Parts: sequence; C-alpha cells; structure tokens
Amino acid sequence: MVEKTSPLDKLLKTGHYGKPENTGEQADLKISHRTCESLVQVTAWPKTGKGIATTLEKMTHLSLQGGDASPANEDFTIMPTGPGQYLIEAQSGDATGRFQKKIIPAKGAVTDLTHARVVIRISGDQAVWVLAKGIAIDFSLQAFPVATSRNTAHHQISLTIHRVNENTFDLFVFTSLACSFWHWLDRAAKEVGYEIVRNVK
Amino acid sequence: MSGYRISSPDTGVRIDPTKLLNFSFNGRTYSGFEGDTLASALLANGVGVLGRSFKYHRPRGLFSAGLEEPNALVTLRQGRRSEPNIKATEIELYDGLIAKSQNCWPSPKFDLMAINQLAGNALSAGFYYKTFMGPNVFFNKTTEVWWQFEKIIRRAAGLGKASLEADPDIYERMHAWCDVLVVGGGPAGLIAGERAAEAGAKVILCEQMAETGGSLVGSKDLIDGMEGDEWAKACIERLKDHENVRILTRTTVQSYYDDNLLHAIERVADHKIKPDAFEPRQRSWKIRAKSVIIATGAFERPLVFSGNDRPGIMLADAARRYAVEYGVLPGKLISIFTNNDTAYHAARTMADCGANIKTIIDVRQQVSGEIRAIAASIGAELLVGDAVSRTSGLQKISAIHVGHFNADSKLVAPSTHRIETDCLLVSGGWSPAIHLTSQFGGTPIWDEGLQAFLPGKALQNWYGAGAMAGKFGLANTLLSATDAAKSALKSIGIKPKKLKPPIVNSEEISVQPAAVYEIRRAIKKGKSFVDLQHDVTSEDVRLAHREGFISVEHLKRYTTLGMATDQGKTSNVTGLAIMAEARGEAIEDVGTTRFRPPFTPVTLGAIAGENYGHLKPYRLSPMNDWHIARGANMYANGLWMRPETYNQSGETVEQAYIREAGAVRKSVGLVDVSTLGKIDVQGPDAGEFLNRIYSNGFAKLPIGKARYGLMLREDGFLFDDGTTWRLDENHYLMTTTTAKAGPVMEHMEYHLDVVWPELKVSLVSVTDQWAGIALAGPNSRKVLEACVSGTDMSDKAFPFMGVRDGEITDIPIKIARLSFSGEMAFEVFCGAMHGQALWDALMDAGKAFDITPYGLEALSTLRIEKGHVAGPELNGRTNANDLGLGGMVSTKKPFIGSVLVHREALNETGRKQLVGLRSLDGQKILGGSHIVASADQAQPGESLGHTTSACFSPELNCYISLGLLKDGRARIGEKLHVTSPVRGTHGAVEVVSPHMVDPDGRRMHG
Amino acid sequence: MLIDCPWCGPRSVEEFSYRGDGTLKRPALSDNSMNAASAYVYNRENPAGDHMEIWHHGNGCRSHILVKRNTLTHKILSCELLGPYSPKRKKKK
Repeated sequence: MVEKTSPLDKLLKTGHYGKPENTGEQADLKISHRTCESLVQVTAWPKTGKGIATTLEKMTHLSLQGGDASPANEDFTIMPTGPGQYLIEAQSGDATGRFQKKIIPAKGAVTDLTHARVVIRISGDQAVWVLAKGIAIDFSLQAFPVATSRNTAHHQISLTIHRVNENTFDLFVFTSLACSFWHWLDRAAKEVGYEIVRNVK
Repeated sequence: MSGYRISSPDTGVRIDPTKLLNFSFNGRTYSGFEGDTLASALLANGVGVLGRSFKYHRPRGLFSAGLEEPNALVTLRQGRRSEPNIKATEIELYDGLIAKSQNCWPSPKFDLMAINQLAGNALSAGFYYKTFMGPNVFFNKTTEVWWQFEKIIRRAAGLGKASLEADPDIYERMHAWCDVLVVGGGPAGLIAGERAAEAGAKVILCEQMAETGGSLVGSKDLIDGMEGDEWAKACIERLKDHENVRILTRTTVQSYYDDNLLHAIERVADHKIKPDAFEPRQRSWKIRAKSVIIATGAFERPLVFSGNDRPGIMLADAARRYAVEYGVLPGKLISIFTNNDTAYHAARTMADCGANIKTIIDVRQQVSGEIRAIAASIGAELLVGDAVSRTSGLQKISAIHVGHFNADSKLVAPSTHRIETDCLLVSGGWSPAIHLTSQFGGTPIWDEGLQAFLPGKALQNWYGAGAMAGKFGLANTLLSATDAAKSALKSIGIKPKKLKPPIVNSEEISVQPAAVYEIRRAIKKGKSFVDLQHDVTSEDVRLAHREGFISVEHLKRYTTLGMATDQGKTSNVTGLAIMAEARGEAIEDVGTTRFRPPFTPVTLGAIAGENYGHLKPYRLSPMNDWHIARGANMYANGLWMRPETYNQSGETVEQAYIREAGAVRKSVGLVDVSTLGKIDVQGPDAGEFLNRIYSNGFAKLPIGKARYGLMLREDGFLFDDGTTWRLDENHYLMTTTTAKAGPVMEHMEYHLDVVWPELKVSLVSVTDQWAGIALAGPNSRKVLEACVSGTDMSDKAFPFMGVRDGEITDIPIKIARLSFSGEMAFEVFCGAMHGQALWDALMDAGKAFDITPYGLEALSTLRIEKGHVAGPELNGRTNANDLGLGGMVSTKKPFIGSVLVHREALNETGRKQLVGLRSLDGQKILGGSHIVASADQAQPGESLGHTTSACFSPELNCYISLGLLKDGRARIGEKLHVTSPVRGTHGAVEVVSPHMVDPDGRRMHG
Repeated sequence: MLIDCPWCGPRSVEEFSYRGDGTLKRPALSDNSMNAASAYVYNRENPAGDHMEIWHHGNGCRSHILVKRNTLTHKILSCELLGPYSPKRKKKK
C-alpha cells in the first residue's frame, strides 16, 4: 500500500520549541502526531442501535457503556460522537472493510474517514492549560473524565478530543485544517515550552 | 502638590524601601520603591501637576489611589509599546519605566492650549451643536461652517495619542470553568472564597491589584485576634494551598454576560519593562461560573464646589491609602472637607502617620461627640455647618475659603475664613461598585440612608458581599460575605461547612452622608466640576436641564458626563443628584444610566488574542505544496487556498489562463478539485431522501452511475447544484460546490432531524477524506488508459456519467466520467493522504500528452465557454427556468421546493434569463456590469440585466460573458451594450446562447 | 449564551447555529397547496417572550435541538433533542 502523507509531516520536526526547557520537576509538554491505520464512522438508527452496539463489542472486544464513554484497547478505540454515532480508530489498515462486512448487514452505515483526520497527541501537566486557550469546554476531570471523548470546536473548526489519561489528549483534526490548527497550537504551546516527539501510543 | 515620603512605622506596607527604582516622567528622572505605583512615586517626589484637563486645559493633579482616577492619565512606554490614557494609579512601578503627561504642550506646567479657558461658555455642554455654527446665508449653509471647525476640534480632542506602529506583544485568550467565581480580593472576597474552598467547590478569585487584601492592607482592625493585614495574608496563603482554587491577581473582571459568563483581563506582564520571551502581555479570561460572589467594594466620591479641580485636592480615603500603603503624605498643611464620618477615620489614621491636619470642615449641621473627640485628638480645628465656597492657588491649591452653609437653600454664604492649605481632602459619600450587576439589566435601587445606588434584583446567579452590597464596616462585610458564600454554595448543590463567624474588633464608622452634593454660591463665579475627566461642570448639568435634556440617558450624552475613560466612577451619582434637584425630583425617580461593559478600559489586543494576521482558519488541499512550488498564484476561496493560475515567467494572469485553457481543449490538463464538498450518504432510505432533495429524479439512478442534480430551496429558488454518484444499493457519494458544502450539509441534516426523522439516512462529511483531480481534454482518457489498472477505460465499458473503482500505482481510486469543462473529462478521487502521489502519477502518465496543470481561472474559462452555471449564476435569486434548467424540475414527484417553484412570480415573462454575450468591439467584459440597449455611455438608460461570469475565450478568440438578461432567450441575436458606471466601461456585445462551445456536447460524450 | 445540548451537555453558543422557528410543520409531501407551502416558508409568529426555536449543534454532536428561549431575557428554559433519537419519538412507539 502506498504510504500516507500527512500535512503535518513537514511541520512537526522533533525538537524543543518555545519557552526554554524546564530543568525543574515540571515535565515539558510533549506533542506528537500520527495518521490513522483505519478510522471509521459507524452510524446506527434507533431500531438497530442495540444490535450494532453488540456487533461492535464483539468485533473490538470492548464494552460500550453508553454516553460519552470511549473504551480503548490495543487494537481499537471507540469514541461516541453523537446519538447512534461512533468514531472508531483501529490499529490495522483493513478495519474499514471488516466493519462494512459486519455492520451493513446489521442495518448500520460505515464511512471511511482514514484520510479525513490527523491525530495530534498532547501530553503533560500543562496540556489542559494550553488546550483551554482555544477550546471552550470544561477540562476538569470531573467534567471530562479519562476514557471519554468530546466533539467540540476550535475557531469554528470541528474537533474530536479523546482523553487518553489525566494529562494526555488525542485531538482528531480535519486533515485540510491541520496546518491551520497547528499554527494556533504551536503558538499556544510555546508559552510553556514543548517538545515534538515521535508518535508513541 | 507638596507630597513627600514618610517612614513612620506601619506606613508604606506595600513598598520595599530596600529596593530603589528609577523612572522617567516627562523626561525627568525620579526614584521610587518596589511596590509603589507611578502615582504614589510621583506624589512622594512632590510632583503636583500631572496633566491638563480635556476641554479647558486646566492643570490637574492626583485625585485618587485607584482605578476610579479621573485626572492622572499618562502615556506609558514609548515606540511600539506606547500606550495612552493609562492611570498612574494603576501602573506598578518598575526600574526604567518611562511615562509622560498627555493633552498638554509643551508641558503640563506650561500648556499653550490653556488658551481654551478664555473661551469660557463657548465650550459649555453641547458646544459642538451650538457654538460652531455659521449664519445660514447664501452659500454658507450651517453644516459647511461646522466642517471647518470640526477639523480643528478633532485635532484638539482626545487625551493621549496611540502609537501607529504594530503592537509587538502576544495576547492570549483562556477559558475557565468554576463553581464559584469571587470578584474582588478584599476582606469580603477572601472570606467568601475561603468558605467556598473549604466546602470543596472549585473557586476562581480575581483581584485587580498585584496583591489581595483590599481594605485590609495595613489595617489594624482585629479579626479572630489577628491584625487585619496579617489575617488577609494568612487567608490568601490558605487559599493558595487548596487544589481547587485558582487565584488571579492583576486581573480585573470586566463584563458580566448571559448564562454566568464573565470576562476578565489579566495583566500578565504590564508590571515589567517588557514581557518575557513567549509570555503574553495580557490574557483575556472567559469564565463560566456556576455562581458568582461580587465583592467589588465601593468608590468614594467628592463634593462639588467652585475651584474643586485644583491640583492638591484629593479624595480623603485615597490620602489615607497613600499614607498607610505607600508611605506618602500629600501635603504638609492638610485640610479636610466632608459630609460624612469616614473622613475622620482617614484623618486619624493619617495623623498617626505624622500628617499635619489643620482644619476639618463638616457641611452637616451637627456631628456626634465621638467625631468631635477625633478632631480634637488630632489637633484639627473643626468647623461644623460650614462649607468651602472656593479655592485659591495658581498651579496648585494654596488656600480655601470657608463660609457658613445654609442647609435649606444649599448655598454657602460669602467666606468668613481664609485657610491656608497645600492639600484639601474631600469626602462626599460612598458609591458601591455595582457595575457588573447592572450590566445585563438589574435596575439599581436607590438607598436613601447611604445616598447611593445598591444592586438591583439578581437576574443571574450572583451574590453581593461587603460594601458593594451596601454592607459597610468590617464586621458587616465579613458577615455578608460568609452569607453570600453559603447562598452561592447552596444554589449549586454544595453543602457549606459549618464554620464559626470570625470575631471582629474594629471601630464601626458610619458611612451615611448628608444629602449634600454641591456647594453653590449666591453669585455664580468660577467653575464647579462634576466630571473631572471630561471637564463637565454643575452648570453644564443645569444647562442640559434647561435645554430639555432631562433624562439621565440624555444628560450623559449631551454633557458627556460619565463618558470618559473613568466612566464617571466619581461623578455619576453627583451628576444625577444635581439633575434631580433641577427637576425638583428625588434621585430615585431620576434613576441611573445602565452600566455597560467593560468596567475599565481594555486594550484591543487583549480582545483579539491570537486572532491577528490571518484572521480565519485556512484549509489546504493535499497538493498545496506542489502548487506553490510550481509558482501558482494562491488565493483564498472561502477558507480554502486554491491556485488561480500557474504563471510561467513573465505571464500575466490573463495570459496564463488563456494558455492553460487552450492546453486543455487541445490535449489534456489536470486541476485540483479536492475542495469540492463531498458527503457520504448511506442507509435504507438514502435513495428516497435524495429524491426528495433534488428537483430531478434520483430514485432510478443505477449503481455505478453519477447524475447531475439541482437542489432548490423550499421557496422555489435554486440552492445548489452538484453531482451524486451511486456507489452501491444504499450508498451514495454526493458532491457540492466548494462554497456550498457546509450549507448543503446543514440543509440535509435539518431535513433528516426535523422534517423527516423517520428516514434512515446517515450523512457524513467526507470532504477531507478524498483528494480530487479533474482530468480534462481530448487526451484525458488516453492518460488514464496509460496508468489505471483494475477497470476497463474504454468508452463502451465506461460510458459518460459512469463511476468505477480502480488503482493507479497501487493507490485505490474512484473515477467518475463527468465534465465541467465540456471536454472529455474524468474526476479521479483517492484518499486525501495519497493525493500528492496520485497527482505525481498523473503528471507522469500525462507527460507524453503535454499535460498542463490548470488553475481556477482556466477552470472558470472552460465552464463559461461551455455555459455551465456556477456560483455567480446560482446567486439565490435565480430559479431553474431562468437558467435554462427548467427541464430538470420534475413534475412527477414532490421534492423540496416543488410547490413554490410553480409560483406565478417565478414563471412570468420579463424574468432575467441566462444568456451568453460576445464582445463585438474587443473590449473586456467585466462581471457585474449592467446590460443596456443604449450605445451612449453617459445615458445608459434602463438596466436589462447584468453580467455574471466573464473571461477571454481562447476557443472563440474574443471576450465573452454569461449574463442574466430580461427575456434573454427571446433576445438571442440582438446587439446590446454592457456598461459599468462605477468602473467607467461601456462596450458593444451580441446576445448568444450560453453554450458557446460545443453546444451539442459531442466532446464529452465522444 | 450557554445551550444545554442533551447529548453533549452545556456548551457555549459558538458551537451552535440558529435554524429558525421550532413550531414549523412542513406540509406533507402529497400536499401541493400553494397556501400551505407559502405559510410554511414565510409566516412566523415572532413572539416577544418564550420562543420555541431550533439550534444545530454543528460544532459538537451535530444534533438539532428544540430550545425554548425567552427572546426578552435570553434565558433558556428547555432543550430537547430532535431527530431519530428524540425522546418524543421514543414515546410514540
């Protein structure tokens, strides 16, 4: 398969940027980016919703608790993005086909979004501080627990945020808007200083 | 002013006398200490005249110790960072600070513009409506005379001058959420914040000074056995220890909006000579608070009398603060003029610091024994029932003239005493700082005892505490604050902790003033100022009343009282009182104007935040870098950046697109169409839904075929056009124009959610998923035959409007045989992140055919020649029939717009219809020109329509345009003109069919 | 303004776009009366006070929400999910 080229490949070069490195205890902000092996949107309608949820659970070995809970394992992450809608990241490149085979007969819809998003991971004590500059949602753990996701916006651009752990967020950004988004994030993160690292899951 | 620094113990609690700082004011060097404000340092250096007033250019000195300051406005810093109209009282002193006076030249002490004072009544309220008019005679109409004066007045108006250079600093925005927002870090705010924090609430506390403490700074009152100052310091340390508390100092809450959204500005680096690297100068906070505790205190106001603006006249409590907090006394021979008890507290405190308070004049008819005792204890002569009738002094006050005050007539008798003084402290009462509570509506309530406005009914979830809520005195303040905290917590479902109220040992001083605002003399002489910053006198207020501007809203605008940068913080109530008296009504019946955000001046940079330079997000195609490297002129098409033309060296834009379009029609070209809106439509009801959305039939579209569709609005007008491909039984890919991608998606989502929620259709935007390349020209198929595998590219196997899957160099692709240009053409789609690789592969395969990349100009040219409609024709006022697409409006099925499309008005004769226009005289046709019959440029006559999309046609070798012309189809063959009076063009054209090239469509079907 | 999206929770108004009167009922597809279509497209009550209106959570879950808002005070009184997952539809079944 031909390699995917992300618009951020040439913009995110490893290194330290912004405020000089902290020699103290406070860890630097770490930023990395990746493209998805597979990214799929699965849609279910009210009548078929339960069946689709069960099918998804079987395929991914994850338990869907409902609401905004975004369970994840080594192979899959499921992010509910609306009523009857799931955004699913898979670590294998053929997931779209496999989902289509199982979900469509179960009366759901499957849309391939593998090329439509770039994922920026931001991690560190200052991650919330930096994100809160441009994103108007409550980032406290109470309001945005670990392993949940949020569909929100940044400068009128839609954005899906998955909270991986207390200090780590995966930002799913529209591919065509990735450079523009990075332009903002770079400036916002320079205030505290950040390091670009190779993507590690 | 004769201010000077003192060093008695317990004075100057804010300053560090071991840290000397040097600063420059009006070019002279002075020194101060860390902790000083520019105001306190200037006062300590004996600088009296700080600037000149707005209109009359009268010398003015320091008036207050806080953000209510009307006089001491300076321009801070120089060059790009120069900032005008900053109050010296708000500037934290740092080493190397540079500031200068405003509104005076060459200096505040000697100002040439003071000549204005001779103009006297010519500059009274509303002068620009009255004074600078000319006689209405012959040619000299009234307004023309004003225009001449206006230029001069505008140059003289204003206070400081803004820098015209770009601001080099960074500004940021920040969003925050909390359970309790505490506005104010004085005693009320501190204890309320602590109570909230102890109960486990998430708290944000905003304090506009660098340190919290407020009125407790330097206070000797006892709270739970500790001195107030110490208690405040311990309290803030406890708050800082709480995990759920954020303390924002140097942060002013400016505005209170709907749904408990408050806006605050944090002055991150204004106390330094410049921000650190990557540090923002200021930060704009948008805070959503579940509950708000407003503990903003109160402002002291002055008394109004003749000559009350002389340098050396200051608010009494401000002087007390300078003594206690900054270790500065404002004069050596101090007198005090008051209508209430609080001035005595200030007097005693200052006397304890070593001040020489000579005289206290109390306008009330009687005072209490305790008050008399205070005066006696500090050795001040007490004159009860008297008033200051006027002041003397050239550039600063040298004496006051005191006479007997008649409480009934409110007049002061001719003076009996002349008292020498170098500093007069005034106290006219206290106005709670209710601004935030009034910003979104709650009408303030007049309190007769306090002679002040209290906050009105709470229209949102906020609670008042301390002086803001009319609770004066430390014990009252703390009690009201703990109550406010309790109520706030309860309102959001958090249980307050049961804590004992603090034990307070403080002297309770009454704040209730006599209802005296102005001291008038029987014979009007001199000027009595109400609004110091805008030079509004009490006579101006009465003038407004005489001229009929009696409502407070009119009073404000006509006199400009309360409209300066201090927004009338020390003058509003007094102005209302004077108007009430003129109207013969009670103040509460006169009311007050509505406060508007922001509370204090805000720099525009802080509001803009990071939004400067490129103001909107930008969207880039996967092939963006290639276009730029190839020398394309990139331009913004909505949010997208797209190539206009690929200029080769020396080419103009026109030459470039002519070359590119010609290359397409001759052989083959490729254009990046990744920006097209693409929507994935799936579901058992997808076909039915599309049939309801499009005006032409979609129910029978075969799998593997695409169809051009028209979407109407419900009112029958055209909304958008596009092409939908049927990929599978229940799976379609819809394309829309770039511009309408968003609106079409919203249009369809609305109908699925609101109108037909029973339909099972999934809509997902896939604009970003697919890169798109259109390959057009007689050799386009040959190029694809050379590189596509997995599908038969022959005409029979792949007919016009067919959709196929395939591969190019291992990249999975979808191909649709569509034509926008009228040539043989294909649209090739692949995953966006393979886009560049696909583009490279097509360029490679096309080498043999001289493949030419073409941009939007050429794309437009080709479709204009072909007569294909696009945005300029789908302008929201045209219907299908107008554009010759009436055949696409089905009469066999209902769809969105199917009823109103048959309205009379949309089908009558005389409507503008799509035509083509060919230039007959070689002149370029401009889009947006009128189509007229007349050959006379000076008398074009009636407009018959307008041109929509114009270009030079390489195929026809002349300038052409599409246009909308009245009864256009019936006029084909007529000779008319296109005219643009705004651009000065007029040319001859022939009306032709819009399908100017290959009208039979043989090329794309071949 | 803060809108309490039934799916996402309270969000700032910038995430939403206003989609008009929430009391509208589109005439049935079989209804081709000009008057009914015209009333649907053009007639609005425009009350000063409580108003039923539709907001689209475009920068969120993309649901449509039926909001009761007072046009004088801006206070939002209720938010209800529209679309296939609307609680109103569940009740019908």
